[in-house]
Amino acid sequence: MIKFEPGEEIIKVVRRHYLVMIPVILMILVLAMLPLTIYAILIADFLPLDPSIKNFVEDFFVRWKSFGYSVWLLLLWIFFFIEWTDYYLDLWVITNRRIVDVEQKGFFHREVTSFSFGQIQDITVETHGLVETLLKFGTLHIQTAGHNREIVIRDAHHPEKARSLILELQQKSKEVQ
Amino acid sequence: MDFFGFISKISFSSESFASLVFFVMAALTAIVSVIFFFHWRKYGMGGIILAITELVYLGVAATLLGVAFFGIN
Repeated sequence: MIKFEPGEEIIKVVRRHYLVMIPVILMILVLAMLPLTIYAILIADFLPLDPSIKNFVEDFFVRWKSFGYSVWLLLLWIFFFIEWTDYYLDLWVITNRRIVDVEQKGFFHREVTSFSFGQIQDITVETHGLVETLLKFGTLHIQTAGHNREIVIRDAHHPEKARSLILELQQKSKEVQ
Repeated sequence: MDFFGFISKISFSSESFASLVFFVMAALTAIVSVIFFFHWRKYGMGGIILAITELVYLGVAATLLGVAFFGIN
């Protein structure tokens, strides 16, 4: 849980672009079709299998298709939500006073870093290739004075807007000081 | 009787094995659901998206477990 100071307001929450979930979804769809494909290959006539093996496979699938397939889909469903949780809980919270970087690394490993606008030394936006350019997502790097590591959010949605907003808020915080 | 002799005396019908798999899957789903909900509520900052996600996740998981249960019998 992120604890905000009194008077601190959330200006924007930056997440990775939802397109990063597409490869995961495609992989899950392929895996979901896998048992049906294996069944189709095993009972197809072009495989030189003994008729008794084919009969066994057919009987097995007829008897256990509902049970086996639903268990398989349930495993894939759980796997999808593990990936979704990693996607959804990985974020940057930009407030009127600071930036909070939350990095979810698996279920029980979470890193939360916060830094004020005064600590920001450099912000870089990286956009690679046609897909990232057309769909407006890219990588945001922030170099800070107080941290040893560079703070990065990969595949951020509208990184240019986030960069402009951070620079604007940094300017405002300088004016207040 | 040695250990392997004892093991060889145990016989599982396919229905018993399926019931065991079903029980393990139901337990796994329950445990993972608790972990999901804990994380989503604690770190996801609430909101309508999480409420819908929880409903969809639980609805589909319960349906699949139901189909698996009726698939055994």
